[in-house]
Amino acid sequence: MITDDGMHDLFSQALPGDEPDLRDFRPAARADGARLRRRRRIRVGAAALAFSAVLAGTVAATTWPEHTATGPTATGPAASQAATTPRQQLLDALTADPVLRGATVTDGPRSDAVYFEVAQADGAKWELQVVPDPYLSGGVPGRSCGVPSTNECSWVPLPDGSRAATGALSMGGVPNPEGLRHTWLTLETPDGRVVHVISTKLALPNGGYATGTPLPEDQLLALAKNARVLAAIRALPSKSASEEPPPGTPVACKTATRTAPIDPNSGLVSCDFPAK
Amino acid sequence: MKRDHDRAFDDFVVARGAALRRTAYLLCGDWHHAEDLVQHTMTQVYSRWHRVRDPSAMNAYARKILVRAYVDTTRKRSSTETATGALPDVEATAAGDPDTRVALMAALDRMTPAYRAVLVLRFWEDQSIEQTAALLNKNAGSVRSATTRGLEQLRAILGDQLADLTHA
Repeated sequence: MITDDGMHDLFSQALPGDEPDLRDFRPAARADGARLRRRRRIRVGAAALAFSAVLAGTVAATTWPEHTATGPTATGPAASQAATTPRQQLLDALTADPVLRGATVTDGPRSDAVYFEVAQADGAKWELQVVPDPYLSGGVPGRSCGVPSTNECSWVPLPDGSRAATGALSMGGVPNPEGLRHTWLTLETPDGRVVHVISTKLALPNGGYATGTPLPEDQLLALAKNARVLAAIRALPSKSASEEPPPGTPVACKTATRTAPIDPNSGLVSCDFPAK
Repeated sequence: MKRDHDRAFDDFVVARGAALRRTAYLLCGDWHHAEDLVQHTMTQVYSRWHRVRDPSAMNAYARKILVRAYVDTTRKRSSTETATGALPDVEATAAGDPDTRVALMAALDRMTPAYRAVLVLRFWEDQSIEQTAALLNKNAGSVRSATTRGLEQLRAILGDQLADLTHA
């Protein structure tokens, strides 16, 4: 039986009595140790930088809705994204949206406004207009909810933090298949910008309106809930948005002067625009 | 602050250098290789010295670096070269070399490096099973088993000499 002490003695016997002189380990240890420490710090710094870059990229991808995976901007080449105008992006997003499946969406001829003509498979035609509001949302609670201005807004939250309210309007106060009808959606972004999306029966050149009905309110809201459409709408350029309309400006007329009370049936107002 | 660290490191090298070299020699059986192992250990210790709160804990850290460096080098060198301070004369040793030291070192050279490390730590460095397990990053059961097998291996190599040597 070998005891622990016996084994210790065994190892003691293995060591020679005359050991060689001990080398001075300090100079080389200091030089190499300092180098190791520097390299370790560099590695840690590089890893921290790489981690920060990945984190920043992730945050950017999740924060900016136009970079979400639902839209082509996330999958397409960067060069083609830059070359595509916001208007074209919105047209693409609308065409791909399930709400407008089967319909033909074409860019409207007017260049001064963003609007698209929609021709459905059943022959119904209507137009979709996107109008960035020149005023920010603050301070005018009734403004964003159409006419009459006393209407209460029923806001629905959207995925990117915006909110939307919808409404409908018919000429004559009752739904008239032959008359003007439109539905609208007001979008209010977290930074206070307001954009109106209006779906209107298409006016015919010889007067009257095309058959069919504009997009129902719930489908208009469904369009706005599509992250790709929403991002495209938000990307549209807007004229410099001001905080609120000038004092004394009637809400529904904004830059004009209201000359008659609101029509209780149609909800329309008459405005006098100042002569230029 | 750096000067204090350097002074403490110098004290550590002076106090522990010789002991670590002896342990390294028992592990590898060659003074040059032992000094290389100690130099590597001291370099690693210096690179971590500024983080040490308790300098006495550096003893265990240095021992760990040394043993792991030995195990690593035996793995790397197993297919290339074997450094030795003396000519390996295994047959003569097994037959009963009168020189105790040479016989012992030859026997240790024939042992599996992992078993040798366990025996050196357990019986030369007087480390407990748990401490040895922590140094080698193994569990206590593995160390216990390695101790038993290492002793069996040593007994098989030395034969009756082992009993004589341990009672010498």
